[in-house]
Amino acid sequence: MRRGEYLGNFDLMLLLALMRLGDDAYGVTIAQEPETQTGREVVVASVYATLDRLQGRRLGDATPERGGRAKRYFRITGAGLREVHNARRSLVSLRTGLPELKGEKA
Amino acid sequence: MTSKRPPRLATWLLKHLGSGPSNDAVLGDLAERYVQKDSVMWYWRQTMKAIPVSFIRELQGVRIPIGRSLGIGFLALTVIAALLSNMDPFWKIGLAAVLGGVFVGVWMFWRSNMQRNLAVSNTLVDVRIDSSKIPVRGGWGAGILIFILLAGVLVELPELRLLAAMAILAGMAFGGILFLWRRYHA
Repeated sequence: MRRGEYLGNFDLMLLLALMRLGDDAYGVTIAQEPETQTGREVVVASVYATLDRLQGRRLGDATPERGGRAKRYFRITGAGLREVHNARRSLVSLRTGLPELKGEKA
Repeated sequence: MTSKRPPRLATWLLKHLGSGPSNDAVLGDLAERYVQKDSVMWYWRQTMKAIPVSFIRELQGVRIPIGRSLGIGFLALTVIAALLSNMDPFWKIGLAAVLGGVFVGVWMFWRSNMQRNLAVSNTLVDVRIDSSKIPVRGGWGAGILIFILLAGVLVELPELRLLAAMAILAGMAFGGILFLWRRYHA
């Protein structure tokens, strides 16, 4: 894997959000997903910046839609799905054999 | 009753200082979320963070010109330093004129190159005066640079104020013409 091809934490969260949201994935709903899960405020502009970068790597796809205002819908591509599965596999593999953390449920 | 319209100043700042193809979508999304959250502080935080994010994103898209722009910035700093040193007034003006011209030339080349790299439609940049081929934003940038250089000259050469003031007025008139051209021919 070349430098810059690893999925960062935020990249992974956004790709997972795209998977969860399906056809309803646009800026507002995508930003709400990691906020709900982590409890941290997400900068909407950084969501777009990350999605644009993922789109450049062909892991996501955007559809411009003109309604009352400019709205861009996103969806995950096949390559994006593969990346998410690879990341999951790597994390599970790294996690295997580690002692349980205090308060952690198996 | 609480107003559901987002703070105008923050919106204006993001609209004019933010960049990139997603800026309109970000503005729309922030307006939509503002209706849900109804927090002025939240809106300001989002807009103030969105401006540097969009700026950095745009810079990341044009890696090669960053080095060039740093070089230009260094050159501009050298010019200003030279203008403020004890150089003969004649050479100061000559240096400012020559390097100012070089700066504008390199900057315009960089802009046109960046437009090719980005391949993003941007009406403000695309509008040009056919005879001179000067982009509107390039004209403003050049005007600002010339203004800075002339201000540097004025610090030590008060007798040239009249000449410099005329040059600044001419620059402003030129900028105004470019603005009006864009407004009525865009």
